[in-house]
Amino acid sequence: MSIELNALGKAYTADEWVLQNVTAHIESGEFFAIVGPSGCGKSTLLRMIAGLIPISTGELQIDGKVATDLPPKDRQLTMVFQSYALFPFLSVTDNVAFGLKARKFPAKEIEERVTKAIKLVNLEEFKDRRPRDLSGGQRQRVALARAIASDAKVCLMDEPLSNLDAQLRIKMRTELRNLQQELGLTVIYVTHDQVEAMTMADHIMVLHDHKIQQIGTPLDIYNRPANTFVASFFGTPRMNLLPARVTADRELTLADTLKLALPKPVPVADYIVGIRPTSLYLVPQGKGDPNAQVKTVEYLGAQILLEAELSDGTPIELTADPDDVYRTGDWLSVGIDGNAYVFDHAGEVQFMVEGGRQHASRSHASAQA
Amino acid sequence: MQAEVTPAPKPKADQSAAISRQRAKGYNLHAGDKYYAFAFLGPSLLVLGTFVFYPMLRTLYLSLFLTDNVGRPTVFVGLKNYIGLLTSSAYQASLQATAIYVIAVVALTLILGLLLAQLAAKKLAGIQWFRTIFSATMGVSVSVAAIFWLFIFSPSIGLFDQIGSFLHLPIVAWLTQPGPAMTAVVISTVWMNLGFTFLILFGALQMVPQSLYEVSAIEGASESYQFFHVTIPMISPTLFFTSTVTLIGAFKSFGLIDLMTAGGPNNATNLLVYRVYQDAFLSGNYGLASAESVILAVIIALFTLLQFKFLEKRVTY
Repeated sequence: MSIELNALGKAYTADEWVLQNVTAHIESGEFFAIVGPSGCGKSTLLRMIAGLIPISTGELQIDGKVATDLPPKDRQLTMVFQSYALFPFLSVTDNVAFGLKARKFPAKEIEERVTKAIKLVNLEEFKDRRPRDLSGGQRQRVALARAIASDAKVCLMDEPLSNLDAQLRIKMRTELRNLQQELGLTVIYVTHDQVEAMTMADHIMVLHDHKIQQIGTPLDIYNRPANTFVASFFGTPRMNLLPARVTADRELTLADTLKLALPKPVPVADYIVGIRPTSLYLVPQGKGDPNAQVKTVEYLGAQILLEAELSDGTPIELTADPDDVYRTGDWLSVGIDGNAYVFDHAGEVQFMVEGGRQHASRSHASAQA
Repeated sequence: MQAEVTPAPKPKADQSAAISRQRAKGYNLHAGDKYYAFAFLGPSLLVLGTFVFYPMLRTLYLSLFLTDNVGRPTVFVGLKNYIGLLTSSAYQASLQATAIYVIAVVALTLILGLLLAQLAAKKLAGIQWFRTIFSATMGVSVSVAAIFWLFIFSPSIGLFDQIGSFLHLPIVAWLTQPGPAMTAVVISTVWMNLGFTFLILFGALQMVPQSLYEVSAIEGASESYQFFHVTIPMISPTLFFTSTVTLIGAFKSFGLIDLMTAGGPNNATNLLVYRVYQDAFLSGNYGLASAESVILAVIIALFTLLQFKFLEKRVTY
């Protein structure tokens, strides 16, 4: 079942919009992630789709039919909550059967569906337990089984993995994704964790500041961020955003330190240039002018994350080889060898400069005027 | 209690034996500890002994005697007080009246309390006001409530009869006819109980996670289905608590009865507790009153036990 969000908006008071103009098309069988920092309205959007809170403006279509004002039970969807929302007084079986009983399905069908759902999430040996006798991961599975048993083809998930420990969360990501594929479910998945969205979703909607920032595949979002927010929200370590000025016909100078050659001339204005830490490299000692000083050194195992300061004081993060030794206060020579994203002063992306290794040379603010 | 540790047969085990001997000592009080224990327990033992245990035993003792009019036992009569009571038609009528009263009070208090709590849980403008009003009877004393209800129930000029006459209904002499009198005391008692019951149930409702209702709504449960399959089980511990407290309270109702009907008319509202009061302090029949007290205590204990036995099974914590 496909879902169509048509200029959805939510306001609690006349001029206080929680969400504005949310338009998206969610394909049948798609894993669609809604990502954003806390308070961006992502849970509100999910609840609007579920029918738990009324939609102020716009139209919602489920399976081609207008569902804007339908009560939740008639939207043919199901939901998994962050808190799992299990009934503490019911056994696993009864929790899974809750919706089917409420909808007065025949007992035989309830039993079949419940048994099947419990089997799918591997909880057969726990089916008579109460939620309090289960671990966090098992409770999560019960909530999933309840969603599966309802046979709805759309499943809304509100941060379903947030209450699990890190290892289990990673395991459940794969499991969830496999289950979704196996059952052909359309999943709308709300999370604040960009890694979760990147690893699981077919498409990602990035919400911030009550508005959609970008919708795209994980690859799109990562490689072609629409603005500085999306650019810095996705990817760990975060993308560096450096102030830039036009210093020559086809050249930007970043933070008065790094030079970036442009493929075409640009109007003279203030720009912001985004460079991922992995797109920066260190010039071997003695070959380039030192232009950054190490502030902190973090060993991440496969690489080292250096937090440094460019010579004009702008902080910058870059990765380095873990075999090398860096100390706070060391001077480095940093160059750009990956993609750089040029944003206008409002943060909207203008174009991307494909990566090519250019040696850095030191430039002083006073050299230009 | 941990027994003395048997001496270890081998020197190797000596150490562990010593440790367990030391541990065993921990369970035994030192001579000095005993004094501390009594010092801590003393005050409450004294208070409970004086005001609870001694009166209980004394009541039991007195129930086997005839007494003079200040309560001194005179003639030992064995179980005759009890036999006399249980075969007396007046006492049986009183038992019956108490049963009706208690059942009506408990049922109405819980149902209305839950209804008000449900209403007050709605998110409406000014709901705070109603929450305060609904719980306000907690702050009303029995005597004030009795006077207030006497006015409402007073024949012809009372509020109920005014409304009745407006609707062309016959005038009811609320407090001077057996049936209406029982109705009147039940209404007043329920009203008095409501504040407390409301507050407790309201608190319990607030504790039910919203997500349970949300998931039920999505899974297709109607409002009434949600009420019986989510709300009731979720607040069952509190319902159990309030039902027990209300039941015991109803058996012990005295103030309103005394002030509104004094057990009348024609003993229609002469509940067990009120009989105890009448027989002891109005008739000076302390032996009989003691026997009635004992019977009442047994009834309350029995009902509470039954409640625990049958209701607690349905309670989910």
